[in-house]
Amino acid sequence: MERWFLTKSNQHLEIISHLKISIKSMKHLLEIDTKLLKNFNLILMLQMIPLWVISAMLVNEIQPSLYDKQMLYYAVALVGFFVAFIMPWRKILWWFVPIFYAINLGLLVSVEFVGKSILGATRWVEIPGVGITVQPSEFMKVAVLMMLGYIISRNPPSKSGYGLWMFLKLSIVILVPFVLIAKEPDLGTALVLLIAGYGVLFIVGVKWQIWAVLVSFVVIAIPSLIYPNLHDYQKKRINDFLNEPSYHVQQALIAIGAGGVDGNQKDEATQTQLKFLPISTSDFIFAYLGERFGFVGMVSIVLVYILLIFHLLFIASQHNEDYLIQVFASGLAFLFFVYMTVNIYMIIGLAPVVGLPLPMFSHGGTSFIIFSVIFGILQNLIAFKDFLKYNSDHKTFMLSKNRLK
Amino acid sequence: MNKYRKNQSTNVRSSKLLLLYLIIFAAISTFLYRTYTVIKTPRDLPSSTTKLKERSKRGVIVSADNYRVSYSKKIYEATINTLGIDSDKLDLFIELFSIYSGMDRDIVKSSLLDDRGELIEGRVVISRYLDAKSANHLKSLAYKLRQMKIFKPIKNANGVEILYGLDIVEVGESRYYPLSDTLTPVLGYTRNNLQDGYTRPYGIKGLERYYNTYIQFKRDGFYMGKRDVVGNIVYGDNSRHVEFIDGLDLHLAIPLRLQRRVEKVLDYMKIFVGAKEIIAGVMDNTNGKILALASSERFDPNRITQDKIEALNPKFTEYLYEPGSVIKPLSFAIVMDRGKVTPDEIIPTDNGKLRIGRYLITDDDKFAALSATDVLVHSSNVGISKLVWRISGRELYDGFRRFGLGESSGIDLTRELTGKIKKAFMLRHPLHSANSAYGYGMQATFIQLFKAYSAFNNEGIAQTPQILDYFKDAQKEEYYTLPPTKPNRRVMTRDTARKMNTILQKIVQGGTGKKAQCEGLIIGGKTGTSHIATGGSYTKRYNSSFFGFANDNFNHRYTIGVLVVEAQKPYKYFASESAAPTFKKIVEQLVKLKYLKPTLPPKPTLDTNTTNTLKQQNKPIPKPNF
Repeated sequence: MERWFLTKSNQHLEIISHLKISIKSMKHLLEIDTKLLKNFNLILMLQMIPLWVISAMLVNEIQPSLYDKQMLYYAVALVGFFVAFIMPWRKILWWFVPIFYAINLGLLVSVEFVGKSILGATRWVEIPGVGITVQPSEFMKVAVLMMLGYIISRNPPSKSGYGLWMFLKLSIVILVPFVLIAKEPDLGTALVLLIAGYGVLFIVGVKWQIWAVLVSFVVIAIPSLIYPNLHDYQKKRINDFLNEPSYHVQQALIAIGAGGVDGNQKDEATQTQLKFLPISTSDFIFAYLGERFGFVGMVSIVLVYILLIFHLLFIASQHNEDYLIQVFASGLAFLFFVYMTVNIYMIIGLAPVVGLPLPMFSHGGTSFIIFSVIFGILQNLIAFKDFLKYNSDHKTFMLSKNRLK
Repeated sequence: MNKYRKNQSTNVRSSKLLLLYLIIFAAISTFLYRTYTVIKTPRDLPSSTTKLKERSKRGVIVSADNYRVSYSKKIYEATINTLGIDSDKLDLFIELFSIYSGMDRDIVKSSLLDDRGELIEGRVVISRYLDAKSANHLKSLAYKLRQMKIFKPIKNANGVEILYGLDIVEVGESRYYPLSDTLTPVLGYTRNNLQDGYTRPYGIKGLERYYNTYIQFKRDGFYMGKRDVVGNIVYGDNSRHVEFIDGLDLHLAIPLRLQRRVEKVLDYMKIFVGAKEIIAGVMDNTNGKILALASSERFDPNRITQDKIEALNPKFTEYLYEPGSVIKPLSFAIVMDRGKVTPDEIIPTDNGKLRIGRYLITDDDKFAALSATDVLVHSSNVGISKLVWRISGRELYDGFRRFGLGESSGIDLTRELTGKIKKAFMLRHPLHSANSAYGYGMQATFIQLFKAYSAFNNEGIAQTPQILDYFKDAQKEEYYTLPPTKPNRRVMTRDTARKMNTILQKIVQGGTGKKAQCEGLIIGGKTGTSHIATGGSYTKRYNSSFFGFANDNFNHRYTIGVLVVEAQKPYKYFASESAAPTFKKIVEQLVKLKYLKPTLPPKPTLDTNTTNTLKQQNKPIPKPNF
């Protein structure tokens, strides 16, 4: 047969050789796959399973119809995770990030003009033709982290940290979306972005003098500059928080108190089942957790979060040469920490009521999917950490890195 | 080198992480502490304490003869969840509700139905304006309805059964004017303001507005303490009571009997002379209090309709007009106060014609010469012009200002207009000063003239009119007075005032004010008829006014003012034919209500006279007839 081929034409030979090469390269891909599994941080993923399981269970108890939706979100999030995981981030970062950041800024600006108002806040944009509304501020979290990672990996800090000039440059990346989101108004999300962004800068390293000035400025500015410019509803919330808890918080505290040390059966969790507890599946789900599983349950979930945050910070400190991983790991850690703290504190009446969900626990699609995407990117960065070392690109990468230094 | 650098950065890193861990640790500890205390704090469920609110009310407005002209009532709302009514017993419910609330059966029924005549499903407000009495009845009905099993429990989405009943809730306060249009527009009106689910009235116009801060509610009260099993407060050492504080009651100097009679006089005269509106005021000169301030155009503050919008604004302070001849006594007094004229002096009046440049001043009654008193008696424009030329423009201007022209009078009514007089430098010109002397080329309000005329009957001191008599704190039985915003002011010497008083009497005895004369009383005053200027020229529409006084020999002294706006009937637009007779009718009412006692010459048959007085004494005190 082969002979027949050979006699027929030389072209066929070429095709066969191509095929052989492609099979070889496929093998090569498979080889990388096994490597991937080796580097893939499975523990990080396993750590979050208790969150998903308990969350799904609680949502099912409160409202079975939402449970189906929740499962759908989980499926979409899984797809999102894998897509984010197999994207060659390190290769496409240089063009993808600036465009993605710019598109998101554009969306945020468009909220101002064509945004949809729900309950007095303009935070949503309707995608024309599809009929789906998205909340650009959620995507902005990913964009800001990517942008920071991109800029920092291109211009790594010196040993004493960034100077004022670089700090200002990076601040712009954080502050522009912050201002746009705060104007919507969605001060909660904006503040989370601000804290996570500057938290990343803190981990990566900025000269301590800058922090000193910044902290003292914030301490002075909050009462004098920011408070008078708040919306009336925001002032009322702060007022409620400082004086007597609002109705929502009162109900949440009753739920937590009713839960006691080890919680109640589903039917006895009357605060939630009789709808005294408002928005019990999303922002106030922690109160239902308290009512259902008591002090033990709440502490366990908090512990899961803390371990997750510690693990992320650990990943960041392990990869102190790879600024991309550092930015994403520490950024995620800060996002988790701030979301969790503010959400739980607002439920127990220690923080003003802002609409922040408990990350990967509250019922809600966008937030959950976005978090899985960030995890996907982080896993990708970890798994493909040494990828470039195996091919010739690595050299140019190293070169460019040195050149920039 | 590289190794050293790496170590150093690791040090920095670990100290940073330590800081982060510390922050996390602090956050967790706070969380643990807070949750632990929340769990460990014993719960009051169901709450063992209860709070009963007692809403305070807006103060009452009371007339001098103790009629409540404006007061507040609590209003209640009746709501029901229609899903909770047993459908077989719906008709029974409607029947019972209409009996207990006094509402019409059909109205109750229609409130439960939607536009298509089907039963509305869910919470329905049957009435929002129940008074305290029917609210009480309905509360007892709500209890009986539960006994009769008219309500059935509703299952919610989670399978929990809830029993709804008839709810009667206090939702606000409403203002009532039991005497309908009496005392308006002085009284003013209120509008409702909803705050925190509770409606309260606040003053928009008139007295309700002017004294709003005094009569509006002060503080809500409450009872707080341990509750018993049905929710009543257990009163004892542990219960707390904060007294509510109502707004102050506003007591007026105006007796309603007189006010109503004056209003009736104005209503009659309005038709008699065909006027657009007549307003009048009576002031007690012994203390400056207003006894009546009435208008023929009134409205019902309970139900303000479209056609009454004009009447909402009190004309006394908000209608500016050229007063005309009623200014003459003022000009005369200013000149006399300067010592430039005596009442008996002869003034040449040039046969009623006086030319200044291109302008001609004329008189209606033409004389070659008149005594100074007769200049006013016959209302001579020429005469008064010649008199004011004896003083400087500045003196005339200051004199007018002292009388209160061009400034607010200080009466307790909202939105008082100040009017306008010519500036001192303009009054230097003989034409302007002559013009102003007989009341043209200036704008004044009724109340300004009213106040100015009070000086002629009060030894030269102009009195600031005041409607308020006193405030009363009904809970503490305490009384407060409030001086007028402007103090009384001397505008001319006592001697001038006395002479002017005599001249004004002579005007009524033999001049233009004859129709104001009443037997047995001391009456004085001045008429004034003025064209209404529209678009820069005078038209054939007139404002006629009469300002004067009515006294008796028992030291009762009253300043009375009347303004007839646009009398239409032929010759009735002359003040002597419209304003003066109105004045007289008001004085007659004062006599009837014994504010004035005429000194009549003794009648020939004494016997009938005594029986008459006896009869009158036996009569019960006449109640006002509305």
